[in-house]
Amino acid sequence: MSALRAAPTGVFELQRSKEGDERTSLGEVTQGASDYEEEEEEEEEVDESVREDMTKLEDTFPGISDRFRLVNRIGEGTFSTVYKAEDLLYDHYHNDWDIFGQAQEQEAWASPPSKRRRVEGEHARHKKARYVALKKIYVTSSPIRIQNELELLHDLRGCRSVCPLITAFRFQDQVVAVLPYFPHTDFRIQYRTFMVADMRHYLRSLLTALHSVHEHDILHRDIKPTNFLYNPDLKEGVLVDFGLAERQGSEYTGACLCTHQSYVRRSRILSSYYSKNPPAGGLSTGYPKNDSRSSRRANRAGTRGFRAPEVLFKCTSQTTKIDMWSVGVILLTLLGRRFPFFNSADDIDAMIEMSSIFGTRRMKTAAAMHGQIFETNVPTIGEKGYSWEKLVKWSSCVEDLTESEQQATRLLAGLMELDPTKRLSAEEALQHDFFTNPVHHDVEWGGNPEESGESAEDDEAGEDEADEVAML
Amino acid sequence: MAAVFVPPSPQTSMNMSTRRPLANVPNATNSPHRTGLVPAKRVRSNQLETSYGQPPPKKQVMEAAENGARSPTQNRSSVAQGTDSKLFARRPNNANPSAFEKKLVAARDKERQPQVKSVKGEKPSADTLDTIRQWQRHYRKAFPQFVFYFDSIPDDVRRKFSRQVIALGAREEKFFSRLVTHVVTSRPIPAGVPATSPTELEAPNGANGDAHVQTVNPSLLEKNTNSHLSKHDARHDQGSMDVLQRARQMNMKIWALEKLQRMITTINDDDIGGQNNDAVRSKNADPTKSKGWAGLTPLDRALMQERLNGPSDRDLFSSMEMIVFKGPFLYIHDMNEKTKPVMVREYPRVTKRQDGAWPQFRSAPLGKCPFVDEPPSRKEYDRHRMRQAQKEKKASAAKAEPRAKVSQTAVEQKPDTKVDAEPTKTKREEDKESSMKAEIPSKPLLDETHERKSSESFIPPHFPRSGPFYTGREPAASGVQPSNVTSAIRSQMISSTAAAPGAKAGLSKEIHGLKRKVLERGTGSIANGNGSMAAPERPNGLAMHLKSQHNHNAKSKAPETRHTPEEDSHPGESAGMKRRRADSRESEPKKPERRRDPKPGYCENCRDKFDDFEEHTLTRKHRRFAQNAANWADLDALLFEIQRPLKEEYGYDR
Repeated sequence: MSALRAAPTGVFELQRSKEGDERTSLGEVTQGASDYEEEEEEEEEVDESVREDMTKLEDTFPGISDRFRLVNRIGEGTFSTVYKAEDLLYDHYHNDWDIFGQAQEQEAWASPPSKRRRVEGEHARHKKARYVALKKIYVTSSPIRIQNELELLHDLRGCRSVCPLITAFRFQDQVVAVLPYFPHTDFRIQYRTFMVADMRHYLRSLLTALHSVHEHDILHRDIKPTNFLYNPDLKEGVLVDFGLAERQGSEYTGACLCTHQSYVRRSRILSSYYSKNPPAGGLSTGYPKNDSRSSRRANRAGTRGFRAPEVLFKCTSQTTKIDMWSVGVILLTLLGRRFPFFNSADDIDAMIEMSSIFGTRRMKTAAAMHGQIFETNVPTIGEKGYSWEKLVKWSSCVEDLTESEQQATRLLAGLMELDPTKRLSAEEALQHDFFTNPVHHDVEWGGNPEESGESAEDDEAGEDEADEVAML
Repeated sequence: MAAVFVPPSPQTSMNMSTRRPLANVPNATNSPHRTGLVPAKRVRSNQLETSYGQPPPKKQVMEAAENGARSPTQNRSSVAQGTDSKLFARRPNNANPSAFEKKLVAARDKERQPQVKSVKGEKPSADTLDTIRQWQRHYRKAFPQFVFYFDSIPDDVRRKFSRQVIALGAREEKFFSRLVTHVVTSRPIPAGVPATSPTELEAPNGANGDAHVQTVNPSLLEKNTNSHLSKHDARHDQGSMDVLQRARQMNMKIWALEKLQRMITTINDDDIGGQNNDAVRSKNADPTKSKGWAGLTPLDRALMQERLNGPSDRDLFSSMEMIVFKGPFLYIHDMNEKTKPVMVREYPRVTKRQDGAWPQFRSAPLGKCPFVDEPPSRKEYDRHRMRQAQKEKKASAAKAEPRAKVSQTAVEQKPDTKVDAEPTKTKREEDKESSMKAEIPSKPLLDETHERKSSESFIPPHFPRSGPFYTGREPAASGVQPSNVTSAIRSQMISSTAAAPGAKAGLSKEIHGLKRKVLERGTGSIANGNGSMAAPERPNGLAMHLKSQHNHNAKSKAPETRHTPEEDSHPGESAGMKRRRADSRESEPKKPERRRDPKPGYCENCRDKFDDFEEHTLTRKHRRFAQNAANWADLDALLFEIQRPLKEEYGYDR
């Protein structure tokens, strides 16, 4: 992993590439950035259509070009495009947000020094270009949506590891949010090389961010590697893209069964239509043809493969725990060395994938929590499913897990817990042994033990978590 | 927790259902088995039911049918049911289950022995079918006399229903007047009113009564003893100018929109109506008697329960025909059957399970998604070819443009016709469409040229069913509900309008579809590439299968099959969509010379779907919105708050 590819692949979602070529913006930009990062933008290869878009933005947004010089497009999000831009008036403002900029200087990070003639010391500082990310929100977004995102970001200002909002402007229907430009490494490069210790840093930073977000009763709803810009040198990341975020409870369309005490749930389930009309063979034989009933409505916003089970079950009382599931998926990806771990072309596929791991029995219980009946006879879905340990071993193709991997796997079990009430919160997760009492018995992936100290501690840790493991 | 799930014995259930406190909880009270035991609730719903003569209520058909010129058997049964409903109507406060009800419960319990379930094959007993057919015949005859007035129904929805009722020979009256015989509303129907069993009351009402009551059903006479209720209504309605109240006063029927929908669906259901099985007719005066009951399929039982328990959302469930699972399936549904299943999907049966089309945990090469079964070599090959192809095409891009345009239009229209034909599509199809749509802007027109119009266009995009070593293919967020402020997939394509209160009604189905699976641009093109080249077999096969299965299921005239009815289908959506699409088609030819790819999408602010993002943003409507500061006041207040703190020495700016 070339130490740091300051891939400006987006302070926000770095996904889409506009041109049909799947590699375009990602590939080009990433490369351009890693080679020349921090150098003259002129050297950055800018696609013509991108340039056109940037010019258009500068032309149609009065005053914007006085403040920023657009450099390149670095990402396209769900309802926005993100540009890298030089912050021309950086020095006119108090830039309390710029903790990373300061870090930048200190560490002279990223590409080899040879390429970085410009950064030579404090005196060079004024000339040094300051970059920000401009998030241009599409004009078809409603003011309420925009407001929601900005407001949440504003509420979260000062939270560690949460991408700060520098400011935002509007001209008529055009809204541009100004965010820090945060160099980071593409997850697709990271996940293959991460050792457990790296995972720990990654997760600690992510969980720290989520802890703050959740403390504010905000659900991010779209936790995934793309939205967590991690810089392995700093061992810090920032959580971005609050476009789907919401305040907990704001979306409730009625209390889901899962909000009730378990005895209430139980009795409701027992007196449900299904319980009283159990299908003959134990499985329903069919489903209604012309179904005119209304749909269960619940917010399902999120990214496939990262949606928590309750989201798939259309729970109407989703909590911040949905984000914790997604963290679990990231950890699973890292431990299993597979990205994406879940393919989940759609929610149904996601459910089947999840079920293949958990087995029908646990899925039924999970569904019942939300007033749903889970039925399947898909032959590859077993009744009991697999334990996480087995799964991690299996997917990372190893015979045995190292102690530290085992520890991480226990954390994983706490995160990817079907029952949201039992799932670890961000705060709890940060208290997990994985962080507080880490086993530093790390092995380079596919390699040999690097170090093997502290394995004694590990056993105790193992005891602590036995319950969780047993549950599997 | 697992224990929770053990299906309780009937006895347990009955006991459970006596838990009074739950009566206050809407969910709980919906159980049909609460029947005799939570009387107050039940009674009310019964009233509702009888008064609105539930539509597809295949069973209860008879009471709705006022027309007596039928076989003696039918007359008898209609009398029986008539009395039955009258019974409920008369007992607004009956605290105890009637003997009849008890009998039903007993019968049901006895019947609960699992019977061989043949769903769909599970033809409703001949008896029932016959009844339904009678009902259909009756209403087909009666409809031409109906004059509908739509109250509080969004325009697009109204148009759709208007068309449907006109197709059945009825009329729509744009303004409320005495000519109206039926008021269809989306509002709650005024309470208290339902007690008036309107089915029967329409007859004596001079102006229009004669029109649709051809003969006098004996039960009618008795039912008019309910007139005291009408009086009550009259009093109640004094001074109220509300259309519904007026309608009630004028003895018009008031139907919930859902009811009309069900009526229409059932009337048009040729599966039932088309059959000629007159052979068996019930000898039972009361079809609900144990014999009839015992012969019923689960569906019929559900129907009976509906009759007894009145309409809840579940009514709809009980009146629904079932599609039988033939292969492996996943089915996640509401335990009270009040809502559409959250998920249904069936897969083709396979002999070896590894061949199954569903996601399976496989031993994929290290680093790759374990649920994807795909030899990497193929992938590489595809990519290579795709890049190659793109390079070539890029070269001829300029030339290809006009041609590409055409093909794109073709693609866009294809779903269009489908939409017209099937207001509710399977999720898969929607996904396909939506993702196609999503891809359009993201791709150079080039790619579209040949692959888009092939039948493969309907293959679901082939997602990262492959490894991680792939750049540019990360999943994008999706699955936004319209009720959600913050969610959208991709604003230009989709959006949720809940942010803007009241916008929901106008959201077209397609928009829902769009947000379901929007790919990133990069991904989109990959998917497309796959589609055009050696498309991986699995997804293909699956798609094809589902499609054919869909067709198979949809062989009846009303092709409303949904494999995945997890999306909301507002009755009006398809109408709205059609309209929008029509619009878009019109606008299409206008811009043949554009250099840029038009990006279609949806504008949350105008609540309009558009074909071309750029163009849309220049429309007057959009500009007007953009320039109206009132729309932005709240946001501006926030923006003011988040101004960037200027250093003192630069205090001039902003």
